Amino acid sequence: MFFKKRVAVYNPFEGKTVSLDSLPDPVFSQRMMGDGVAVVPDNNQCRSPVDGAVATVFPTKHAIVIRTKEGLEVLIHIGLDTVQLQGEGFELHVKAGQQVTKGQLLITFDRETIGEQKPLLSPVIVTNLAEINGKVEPAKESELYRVVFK
Amino acid sequence: MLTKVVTIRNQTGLHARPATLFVHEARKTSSRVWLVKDGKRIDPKSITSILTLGIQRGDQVTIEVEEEDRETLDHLAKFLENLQD
Repeated sequence: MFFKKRVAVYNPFEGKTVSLDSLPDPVFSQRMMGDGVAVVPDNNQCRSPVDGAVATVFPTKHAIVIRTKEGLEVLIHIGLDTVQLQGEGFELHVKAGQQVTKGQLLITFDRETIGEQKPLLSPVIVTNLAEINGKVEPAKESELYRVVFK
Repeated sequence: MLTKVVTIRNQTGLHARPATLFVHEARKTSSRVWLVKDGKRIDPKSITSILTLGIQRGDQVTIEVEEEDRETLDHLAKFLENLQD
């Protein structure tokens, strides 16, 4: 193929984006887990940012990974330090292995339960860029960002 | 093949942050490494693979290292046992 392949990643929430640089957790701000952006959700629903399959859901329901057919692994982490809530305030609507389409409801969350205790900043990152030889590029139009294969 | 069984002691198990730190340690070695829980054997150099195991506090996991790389085995075992949340 003579053209670069691109995969668009869409915003799983309604809300504005912020750079990973601004997050207080070095795992995210230093891109240790992967590259992408964070979203400050205005709503209480997390929807799939891509077409793919549910690669894994955390037992504590605060994070999920969707794998696309191109091999991208997109992790959505709802809030920071939300693992400590032990699932309280999160409701899961899909299960591991299930096929999902862009916009499909994955998780609903109770903003009051979470927001009282933890920041609602939510990183949306691709965790396997090195393995797939890809890089994150800025968004076009309605996309959150796009991944280009080098 | 060298193996070692480790019990996970940190409060929150191998969720995002501890899993990421462990992945970075595992990637430092050129030896093939595996992490096994309940018969599921994964590559700990992949974050998603580790998260798939859903490892929680009190779980026992086995680290496997190819050939005779005892240094890596001991290092990774110690790292897992001393994970911070």
